[in-house]
Amino acid sequence: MKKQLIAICIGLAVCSLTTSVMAGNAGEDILVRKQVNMLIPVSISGFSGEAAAVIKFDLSVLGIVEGSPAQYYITGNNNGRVEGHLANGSQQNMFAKVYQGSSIRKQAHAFAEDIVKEIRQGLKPIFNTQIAFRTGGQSIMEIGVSDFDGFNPTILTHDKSLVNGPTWVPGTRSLLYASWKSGIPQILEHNLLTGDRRVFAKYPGNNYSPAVSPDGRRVAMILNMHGNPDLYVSDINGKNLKQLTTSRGDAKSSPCWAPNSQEICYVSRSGRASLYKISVNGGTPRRLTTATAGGNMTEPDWSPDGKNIVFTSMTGSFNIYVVPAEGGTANLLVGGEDPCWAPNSRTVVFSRRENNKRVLSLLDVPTKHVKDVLQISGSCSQPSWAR
Amino acid sequence: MVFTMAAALVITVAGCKHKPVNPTDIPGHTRKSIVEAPANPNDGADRLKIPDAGEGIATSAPVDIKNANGTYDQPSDNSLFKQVMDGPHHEDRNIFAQDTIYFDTDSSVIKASEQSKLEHVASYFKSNKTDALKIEGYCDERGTEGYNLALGDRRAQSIREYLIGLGVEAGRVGTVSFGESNPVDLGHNEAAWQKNRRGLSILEIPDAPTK
Repeated sequence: MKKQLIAICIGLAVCSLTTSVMAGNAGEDILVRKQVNMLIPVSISGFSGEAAAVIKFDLSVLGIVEGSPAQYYITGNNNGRVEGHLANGSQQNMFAKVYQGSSIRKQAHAFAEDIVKEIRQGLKPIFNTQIAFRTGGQSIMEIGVSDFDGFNPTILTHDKSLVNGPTWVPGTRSLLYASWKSGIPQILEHNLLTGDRRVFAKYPGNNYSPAVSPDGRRVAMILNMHGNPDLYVSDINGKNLKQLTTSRGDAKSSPCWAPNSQEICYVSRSGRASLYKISVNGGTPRRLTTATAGGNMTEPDWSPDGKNIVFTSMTGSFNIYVVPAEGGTANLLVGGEDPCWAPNSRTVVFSRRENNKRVLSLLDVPTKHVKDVLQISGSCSQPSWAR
Repeated sequence: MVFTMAAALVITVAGCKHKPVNPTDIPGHTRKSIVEAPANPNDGADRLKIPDAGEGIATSAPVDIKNANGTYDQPSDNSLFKQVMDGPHHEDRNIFAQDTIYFDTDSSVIKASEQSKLEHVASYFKSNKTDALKIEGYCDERGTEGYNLALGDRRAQSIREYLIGLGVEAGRVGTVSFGESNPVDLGHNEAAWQKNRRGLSILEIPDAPTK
């Protein structure tokens, strides 16, 4: 709370400074750039029910929260359809739109998206995207998908066995995940449109932790085929399997891809677990410096814009850190685990342990602002954001 | 004596419906185990050595071929483990329940205090030639899901490697990691975590063929 007040005061001071020096849009551009890391206070009025809830939630996810003095005025109504208006702190009109078709919920998401385009510029839209996750208990888990905010959840599997690590095939409505339905983990490919499933990987031993390259052409996975959990890559059609890591006793885990689909970041458990990078063609792995982050580091995810890697640090408790993709100082973001970037390279979905279950939350990385996703009953973990 | 040997020969052959022809026992000689010839030496299948016929009494277990980094390939499609698991079979989770291996935090090392349990498991297979073994590796909740899958995997591998060192054939033993799933104790303290950091030896028994 104190941090928010300080951020708002600083924001206000900057606002006063720039409006006294410059007029109109130029001042607002500078304001926008300076406020990437700050919560932005706004006024929201005229909306009710679901429309109001969606607009407030969506903006809050991007660190735009109700507060004063308001830097922007968001007004309108949802009588039958959403009509929305955005004005700046001086009540100057920025845009006014009418949203039609589909549902009130979708209209409200579209309005929120237009607001974000003005207030936090240059971000890919996320309010119409989906997440996949794992839901269930200690021994029986199923795979689910929902809107990014947890609404409209669908449980996709009914195998009553263990599943792990759902991950999207980029640009498609398909998921890969590991399933223990056969008794031993195999990687399945699941087409959400047709409901069809096929076995993607059932090499001798255990197959798990699939990750598809952003260009959709390859899959990284962990196989213990040659007696140790190691990192392997194959084409998306399963051909050309290549073993990338070989060392005895160091369990590898949690591969994720660079946005250029040429490098993989993964965990190697040699002594303390650390993050490593390796070329998709193999070769010598390079350790990623994550200064100040202690404990075992695991579950990395590489931002779509290539700039940052989020990961979980385990020190008895779980904490999510972000580090520049080339390594450096890791910054503590929030208590939690299993982070996954949104397409906008700013929001991260993660899970945290609450009482005896796991819940999903959304993190605004620059402001560290957190919003819980609507919780599906049961325990939800291992979220994957469709990108 | 001769009658018993003949009966043993008959039983052995009858049980071999799905396997390649096994070398027949030579009366008067004791083998530690019956090994299978690889179907195709170049297909990455089990590379178990066939002891020479003239070896006499085998005093050491057949050598399972290690990979360059000291690991052993997982059982492949024509291994005993896969054949048992793919055919009608049933589990016995009790027979080796007292031989559950417990691990230290974040470790996959078989402690000295646990080793005698694995000697007990290995001794079962000195006389039993038809059953397979599934090692299940587990973790406590203090790791992330992805990390714990690999740690449970590594624990199961450690047990498997140790058993192979004691003479159990690599093709007989498979592993499954369950990560932090299926905990024995749902508590959030060391007493509970200790019970959950475990490796189980599960006997897999092929069902008797119906006539």
